[in-house]
Amino acid sequence: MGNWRIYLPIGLYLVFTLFPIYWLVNSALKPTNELFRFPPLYWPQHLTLQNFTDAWTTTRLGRLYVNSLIVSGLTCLLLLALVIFGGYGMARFRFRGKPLILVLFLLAQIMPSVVLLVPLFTIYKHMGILNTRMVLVLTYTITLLPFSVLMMRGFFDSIPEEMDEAAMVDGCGRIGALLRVVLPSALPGVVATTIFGFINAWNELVYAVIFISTPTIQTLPVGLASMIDEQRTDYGMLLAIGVLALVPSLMLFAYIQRYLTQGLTAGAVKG
Amino acid sequence: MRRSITRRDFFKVTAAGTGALLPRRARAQTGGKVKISFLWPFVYAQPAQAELVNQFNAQSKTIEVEDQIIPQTQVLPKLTVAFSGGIGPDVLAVPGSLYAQCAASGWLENIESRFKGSDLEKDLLPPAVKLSRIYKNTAYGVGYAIALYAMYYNKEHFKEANLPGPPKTLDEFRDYAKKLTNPARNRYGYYLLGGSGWAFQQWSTWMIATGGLGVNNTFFDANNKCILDGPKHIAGVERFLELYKTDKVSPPASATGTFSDAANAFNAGQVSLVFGWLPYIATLSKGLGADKFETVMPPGGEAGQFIHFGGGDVLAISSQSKHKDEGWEFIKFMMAAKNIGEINKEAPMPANVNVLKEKWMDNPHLAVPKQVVQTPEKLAMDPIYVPDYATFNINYSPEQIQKALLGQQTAQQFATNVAKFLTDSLAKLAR
Amino acid sequence: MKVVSAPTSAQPARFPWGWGVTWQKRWLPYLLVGPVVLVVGIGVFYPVIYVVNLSLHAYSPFLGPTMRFAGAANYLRLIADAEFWHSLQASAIWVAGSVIPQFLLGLGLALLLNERFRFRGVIRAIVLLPWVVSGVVTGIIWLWLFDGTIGVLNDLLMKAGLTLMPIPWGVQPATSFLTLFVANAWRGSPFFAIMLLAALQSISPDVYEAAMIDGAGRWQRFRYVTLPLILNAVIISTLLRAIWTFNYVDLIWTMTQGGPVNATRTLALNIFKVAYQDGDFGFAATLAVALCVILLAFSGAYWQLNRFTSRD
Repeated sequence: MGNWRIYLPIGLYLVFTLFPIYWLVNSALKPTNELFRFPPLYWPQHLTLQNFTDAWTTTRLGRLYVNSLIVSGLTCLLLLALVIFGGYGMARFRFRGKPLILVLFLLAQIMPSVVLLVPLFTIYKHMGILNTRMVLVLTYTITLLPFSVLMMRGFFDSIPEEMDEAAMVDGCGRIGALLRVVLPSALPGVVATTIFGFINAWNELVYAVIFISTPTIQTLPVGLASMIDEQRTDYGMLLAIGVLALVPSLMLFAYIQRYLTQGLTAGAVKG
Repeated sequence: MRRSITRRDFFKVTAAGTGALLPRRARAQTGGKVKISFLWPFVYAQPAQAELVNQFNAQSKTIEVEDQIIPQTQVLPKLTVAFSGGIGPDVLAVPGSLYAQCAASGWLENIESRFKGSDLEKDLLPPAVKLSRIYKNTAYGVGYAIALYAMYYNKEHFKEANLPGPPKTLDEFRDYAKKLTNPARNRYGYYLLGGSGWAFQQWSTWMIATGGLGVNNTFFDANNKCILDGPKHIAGVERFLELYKTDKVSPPASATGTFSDAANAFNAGQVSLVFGWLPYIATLSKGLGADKFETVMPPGGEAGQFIHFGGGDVLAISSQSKHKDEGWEFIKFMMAAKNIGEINKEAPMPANVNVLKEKWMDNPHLAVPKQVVQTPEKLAMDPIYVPDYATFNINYSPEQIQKALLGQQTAQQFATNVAKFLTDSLAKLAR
Repeated sequence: MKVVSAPTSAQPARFPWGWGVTWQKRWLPYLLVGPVVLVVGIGVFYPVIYVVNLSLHAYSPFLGPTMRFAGAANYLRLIADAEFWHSLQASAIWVAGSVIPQFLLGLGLALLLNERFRFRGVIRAIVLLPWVVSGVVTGIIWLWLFDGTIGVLNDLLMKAGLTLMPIPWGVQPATSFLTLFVANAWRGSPFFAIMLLAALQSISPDVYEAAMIDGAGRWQRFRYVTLPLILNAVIISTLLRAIWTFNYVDLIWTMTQGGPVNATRTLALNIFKVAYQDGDFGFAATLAVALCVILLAFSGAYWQLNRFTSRD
């Protein structure tokens, strides 16, 4: 369309975004003895898929994948269930204790994970859920809730209350108004929150290492980080796993990004 | 596209969510076997140890081992949390730099009675026996790998520069490094480490080659004071600093460079000389090519030629384990010559005497280490037994050497600081 | 004919136990928010008690399981600890240099993606990629790109004639920070892009139409229409992102380990090192308490800005 005001900045940003990704893929396709040339090789001389096959077989990558998918997926579900209702409550209602809740959320965000490790571990041990996938789902939900609730509240805030009232006039209750009318309009917000939850759960390492001791339920980041120790990094495997870890997320987002578009509220209030 | 959410959707999601949230436990015990857990925090031999675990499980009628690989960077948090919560792994492979610390924490079972006089002990090379007893002269684990800090040089670069062979003295080292350095071609003679992790072994090589070692080849004198602040030692480290500051035979970035950086530069053909533990052989073989470099002793000086003995990795039983006998059975299995050989193929020097005779140990890169490991007077005993060794390695030493390299403190200040730290740390042991 | 009455009456009970009007009005908000508070509470109440208690003791798990009561000793030590004050400075630089570029890039991107143009869908998916790449891999790739001896960026800079020799990025504090900022901007701007885009998408196009009818130009539309409407989202996301960045250790750990000579050793990294490398849990807890207090104060000040835009 020749609209350089849009295409130029987008182009520049794409270069910035994609160059490291290209370098990641480029490196993953090289045999180890080509990785460290200087001047660097911008494309492998002997392109090889050996790293990928090694990663798949020796680390039981398939199992790590499945575990990560389950944990991240469940985290998103639990997060959404709590956040949709919680955010709506925070957005639409005036009630006592709201400032306190905000302080609670803030504190939760502020606590560094180093501090949370031992207390959470103790709590989980008494709950008896250590070494299950649920312990990770719960932990991720706890850490992601404050931000997600506040963001969702913000999204609900920007939807005029007239919409709720219109729906309730038509015979829904509060909850019905939320589910039938407000939520569809806030869909971009829901999608953003889902993406946020999924990515954070997908990449989280420390809790995954500390709370899980059984290899059968280990997640992807643990397998990835195991390629590094004090004396060496297994670059081939690390890069291959890094690339492969992108694939499901990319597929998810390719599908879900269309819901970031508005177009659902046009005329709803007036029309 | 309008998509309205119906009540049905809501209940579907809730039902699915609730169902899926029911705890998915890992599979429970298999048959009537006793289950023990085994922790492996290394990059090397991940498939090899998994294979050995399978073999053990197949042949044992009473014990089932479940092994878990974790990233080494998370080992301390993991063990700290697990042990203080009372559920550490039954058997664990402990990195050498953490061994003394883990023993001091009470996490490891005292296996002196099992170890003393056993076949395991008889088959171990002397340095490995020493390693096993490094903490308070009691065995808290079985050393299965011996960590030696060797020098590696690029044969092609040396041929190009018409150099006869590896440098054997500090002066030769400096000389050769200068000849091999050509900044215009982005080529340097040496990559010295200033970043975290075992920079200590590098700069201290210069110090002990010039000033010698303390009692029993350790870094301490008869009064338990660290020897590194003596005048000869200061002179030694000055020579080291000169390499970076005046001779500039090491790339400017190396002042904060880590082990990985040194390996990468070496593999890229940017530098001709590096130092490192024996696993470097595998790293450099993969990156540069096994036939393009050689493994030799570090250079010596007026006070002698030494190779650092940095302990090594250890198999240990947790003091909290409820299945210590089973754990010991598993360790005995792993320490059999053939098995431990498998583990050590990509790793440090194997500790079992019988492994030395194996075919794969004829690898030319292992010639010098094999020799050295049987001549203890060439070994410099790193202070891995002081309680703060891990901190020293990762934090204190890099901080100090970086300050010295970047001109923020003198060689004398550096030596004094370092010596004081080690002396104080050793004193904690006596308490 | 439908009887129009007050919205909350004359409707079939949505839930089997049939609520009355006042009951619902009074308790609904608490029921909606309750589960959230409960779950978050798990992550706050006990940990806070634990960490404050720990800071009053001398405890090192490596020296044995005993905790010795130390009263305010740790806090006195804190005030005198030069490393602590230095780490505050490093943290401030780290947060400012990370969040500001991320925000600006993200905002620009969100505004662009808000427009209609070809391949918008594809580009929106691609834009998310840096955010998805694991922290470990991000650190390694950028470390590689910025490597002082064999890095690609140095190669490109040399080829472009901008520098003769490879630049040793990790040796000076300034360039070290720069590498961290670039890597973090790469990784973090998609976050702002998505959050702000979602916020932008909630603005009804009618509002823009009205503004255009009134004769507002592009910049005026942005300043008087867009900005106020997304201000809420901006403030919350930048505040929380700043807090999160303050606590973020992975990237610094992978790329500089806190160097050179502790220049990039932020408070969060300091806590981690004191806890797990020096093994001093008591003092680490004290540092953590200090961190929480500082961040609470910071948030309080920041929130004052928000008072005029929030509905509370």
